Amino acid sequence: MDFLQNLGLGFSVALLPYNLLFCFIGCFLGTAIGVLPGIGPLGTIAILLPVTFGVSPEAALIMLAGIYYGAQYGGSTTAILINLPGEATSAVTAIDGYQMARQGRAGTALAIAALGSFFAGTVATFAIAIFAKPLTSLALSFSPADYFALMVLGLVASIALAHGSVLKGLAMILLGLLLGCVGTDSYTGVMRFTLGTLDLADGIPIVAFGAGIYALGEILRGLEDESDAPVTVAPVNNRLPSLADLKEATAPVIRGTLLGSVLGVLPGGGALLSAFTSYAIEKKLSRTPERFGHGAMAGVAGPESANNAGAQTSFIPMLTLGIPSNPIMALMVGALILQGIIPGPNLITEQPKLFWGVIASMWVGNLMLVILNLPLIGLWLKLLKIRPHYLFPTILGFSMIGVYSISNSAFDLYLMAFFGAAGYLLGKLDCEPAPMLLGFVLGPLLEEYLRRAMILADGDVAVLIQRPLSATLLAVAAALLVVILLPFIRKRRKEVFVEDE
Amino acid sequence: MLTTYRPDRRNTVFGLVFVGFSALMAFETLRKLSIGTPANMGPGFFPLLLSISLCAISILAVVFGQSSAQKEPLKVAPFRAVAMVLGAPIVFALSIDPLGLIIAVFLSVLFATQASIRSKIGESILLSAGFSVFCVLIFIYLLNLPLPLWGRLIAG
Repeated sequence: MDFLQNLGLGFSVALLPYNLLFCFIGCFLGTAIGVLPGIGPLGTIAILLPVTFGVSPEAALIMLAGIYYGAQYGGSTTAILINLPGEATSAVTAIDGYQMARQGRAGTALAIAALGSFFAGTVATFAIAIFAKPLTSLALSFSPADYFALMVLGLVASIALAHGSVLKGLAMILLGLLLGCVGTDSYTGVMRFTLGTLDLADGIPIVAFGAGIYALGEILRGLEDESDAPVTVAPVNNRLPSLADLKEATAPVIRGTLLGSVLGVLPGGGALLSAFTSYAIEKKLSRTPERFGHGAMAGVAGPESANNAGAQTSFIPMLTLGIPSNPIMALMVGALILQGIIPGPNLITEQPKLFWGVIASMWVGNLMLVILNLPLIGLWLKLLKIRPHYLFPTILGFSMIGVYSISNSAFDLYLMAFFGAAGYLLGKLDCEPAPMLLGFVLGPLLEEYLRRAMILADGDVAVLIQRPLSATLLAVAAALLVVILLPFIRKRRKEVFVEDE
Repeated sequence: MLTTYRPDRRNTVFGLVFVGFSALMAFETLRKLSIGTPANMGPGFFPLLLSISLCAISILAVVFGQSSAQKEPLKVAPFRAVAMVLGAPIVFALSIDPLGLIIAVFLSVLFATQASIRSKIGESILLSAGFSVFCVLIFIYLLNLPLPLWGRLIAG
């Protein structure tokens, strides 16, 4: 019952009034940006990153985490009520949630989404508490080759269930890895691709990169069509789900939670992957697959639970291995480094209060979110009444201040504009930014571990397949790649995700 | 059924951009960085490996790409929106050092508002001014971020 003691320590940290306040701020902001299209958790965390410098490490991470999982709650609200996913992960929820709302079951859909998320959040909190310690001890025995293989698997997994062409996804990963090479080479001190400027000596700043690609890109997509599409908000009846509804949702919620908890741990996994996979599985398992796309409750309950579980367990690789599994975790690592804390297998012993406090705060935050979301839904919907042409300049304003304040450098803003243009162009070429951002984040780590492994093995590439762990991980990655490249599977993927739109 | 390969404009542009970029990176690597050996990789080893792989994958992606008939029609934001949205960070960058936060935020946000065809100039000025005062209160007075309130031209 070691983990109960640890959780107890965690709660004693998370329930301090100071940390409760930051947990609330995070959940509140997360819900707000989840509701609003055009700004996501990545942009928000990027903006607030410099702000966290002034508070304690616990409060900083508790707040940033709240933004991430809070956005999952907020995103589902708009997905269900106006068919507008405020968050990418809610795109799946919109398929069936909006149909439920049109059938007059908006209240039921919202309640199921919130309760499913809360259940998933609770389970994921315990899962992290139970598995964090064994995983950390396991991580201490990882060799550089194992780390390398783990990251390769994560990168491959990140395109496995994304939209569009698999080959373009691979190209985007490689592009991200190449952009990650920019800066000073850690072994030799040689400058790489810095265009002769010292501004790039530390590499491309991730905040400028992320804000350019996500914030500017989203704003431009919003401005593509400014016609008066009236926002029709489905009426929210306050009818709570009936017992029959709850019974129907139970199995999908449990499946979604387990799936999300597992997929979240994978590097490259997280909320998005979990939600899409859960939808596909629910549809496959359903005895009435034809109802999917026409208001199937399992299509809301499963993915909503999965995305929340995945959002939370994606903290595991960051907290135990020091490997950020997605761009948002990379910003969390950034926040810790700002505080002088290097995440890795030693975090749990060196910073037990931080480690367990953040985990316990997730459960507290989930409880706050249920309260924030169900009764206050009208308040959140008012946010949508703000006209977009008042909203996007302020989002842009916050992003610019966020980018500038990281190192008070005007150069970062030019980079932001450049990556905004590049990201928009790539989107028009059917290239999704997510794999590129993950490649960018993992690139330096991947190179580091590859070089270390090669030095240890004296240049023998076979070392990557001689250790059982790295061999297994690479084999899984290769198998995954083969499977997603098979045209038959590609056709299936299209059926799963396209026909419902 | 025999499918004939129809080159699609979007795929062609994709190929040009990606093959061009990877070739440029490979060329830069070979010209400036030492490659080393697998046992002792130089700074150029990993980038060279990546740019060659990127080039190969991009060519495959073009060859096996979908035809445009299967895709949604291309929608692009109007030039005015693109110019104003991408220009805003540049306005901010140019004005932050000489003029300081309050003016830089005001100018760049005002610039950004013009991206929308719906914005009215009076409203836009009010919005930008209100927002920049709000930001100064939050970021400088509440959060104590070390941002220059007035720039070098004003504060001297």
